[in-house]
Amino acid sequence: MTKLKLNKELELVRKLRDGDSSAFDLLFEKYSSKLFYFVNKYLNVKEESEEIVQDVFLNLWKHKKEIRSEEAFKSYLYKIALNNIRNYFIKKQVREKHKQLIAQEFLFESDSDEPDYESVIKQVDRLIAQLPEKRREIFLLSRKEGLDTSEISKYLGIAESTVKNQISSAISFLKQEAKKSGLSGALFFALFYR
Amino acid sequence: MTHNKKVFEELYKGNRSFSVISSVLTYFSQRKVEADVENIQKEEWGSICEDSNIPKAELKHVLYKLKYQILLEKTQRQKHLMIRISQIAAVLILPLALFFLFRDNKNVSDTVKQLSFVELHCPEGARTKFTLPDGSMGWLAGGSTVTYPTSFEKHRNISVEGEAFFSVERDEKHPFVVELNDFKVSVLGTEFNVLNYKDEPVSEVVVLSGLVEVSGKTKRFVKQLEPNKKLQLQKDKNKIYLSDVNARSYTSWIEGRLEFNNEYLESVCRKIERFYDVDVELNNKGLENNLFRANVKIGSLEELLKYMSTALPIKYELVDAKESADGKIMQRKLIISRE
Repeated sequence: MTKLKLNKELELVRKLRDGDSSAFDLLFEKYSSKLFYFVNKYLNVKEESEEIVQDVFLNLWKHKKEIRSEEAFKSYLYKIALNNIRNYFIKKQVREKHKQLIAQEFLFESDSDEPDYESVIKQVDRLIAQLPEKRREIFLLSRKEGLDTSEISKYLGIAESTVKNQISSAISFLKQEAKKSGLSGALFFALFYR
Repeated sequence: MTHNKKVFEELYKGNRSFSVISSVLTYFSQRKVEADVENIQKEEWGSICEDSNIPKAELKHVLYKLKYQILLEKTQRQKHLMIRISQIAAVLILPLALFFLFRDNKNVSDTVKQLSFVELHCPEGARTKFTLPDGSMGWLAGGSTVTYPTSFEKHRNISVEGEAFFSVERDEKHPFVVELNDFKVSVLGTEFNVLNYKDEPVSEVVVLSGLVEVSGKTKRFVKQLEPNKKLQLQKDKNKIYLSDVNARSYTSWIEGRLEFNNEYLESVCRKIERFYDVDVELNNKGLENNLFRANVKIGSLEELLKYMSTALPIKYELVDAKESADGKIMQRKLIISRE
């Protein structure tokens, strides 16, 4: 980067510090696409990525007085963005952990190309939705809430043997469907199980 | 190379396979930071910053939303200040006024005494509470002005432009009189709300407690109003209407709430203009006849609008305040159109 250009950027950051909204506009113009590109590499969901970009720049405006150099500006964008990304993934993980486990348990048997994450999760959703209601509830209590057979039987007020039967029916249904769909995991084993 | 570093490299290459994304999810939710992962994350951002070939994303709408949020914060801060100033002004003016009154009493003639007035103005988007010389309390809605003499010794006469609520101290010897454009409202000791905007097609008086006498100025009549009665003048027809209402819903604005009881969108919009300091434009003919019902806290305009757009067949657009080429500030504008 030329010295002249560097000076111009420093000038912008300084103006921003003084609350100059046109400097804010120019910095948004210059960095918003880059930030979006960075965030969307993680999220791959346009609307969610835009929201993070918005939040990052709003934070930037609120804390403009603390930013003293262009380097500090760039690393500020990075820090707030990564923080947002982390929170996004933590929430996603809480929602989808059990589906990941089900996918690992049932769907990865053959070994052609590995499908992408979202389509695997959708497949799991679709399969769970096909279970009869009672069986689905019992299965999710065991896989999502992590309850064991006796806990589920107390919670729902049904016999332990019923719980066992329902879970094993669910498992055999999923196994059978997995064979039909032919989802696979060559790369999966290489990366996931180290 | 560690496992997680490899995972992030794959992610940056665009690999969104089940195993890669699962690993990224696991990494973030463990909330532990690995040094080499941190490095590669930073490197990625650094190289994006240097790269002049990053595709331009269409993010104008994000910038608009941001500007709106920033402006909202700014105006809210200013409004708080304005309210503070007007409250301080009201508190400061009174002792000062009383002081001069005291001096007037001793030295100056009656004519001079009558000439000293206090004028209080409340900016749009704000509310002001004030105390009158006799201890009566008043509340002014956004964009309203009240004028009263510094002395209530002989008369308790005040005039209101806009909307105001009064809680009047009882004094049988000195009627409390509020002058409006179309009415004169006389009371002894009551609580009531007056609405007297020049741009409103109606003027009205609503009684919360006590007895109120309203006499017409443009139209000749005298009416006694009891609590929960509303007297309304339709200016274009020059007709008065008396109705039973729940007076609380007309005075809730002093507690920071807005109530609409099956009100025409047209009149809802005028209230929004005054309570939120925004210009409202109804884009389609016939929209003004929609009836709207709500009870909301005066605060976020967006929240009210979101609710309105679910309750009514409308969509809305908020255009930020902006500076025109000649340096004039164009007010924030709300455009409502048919869905």
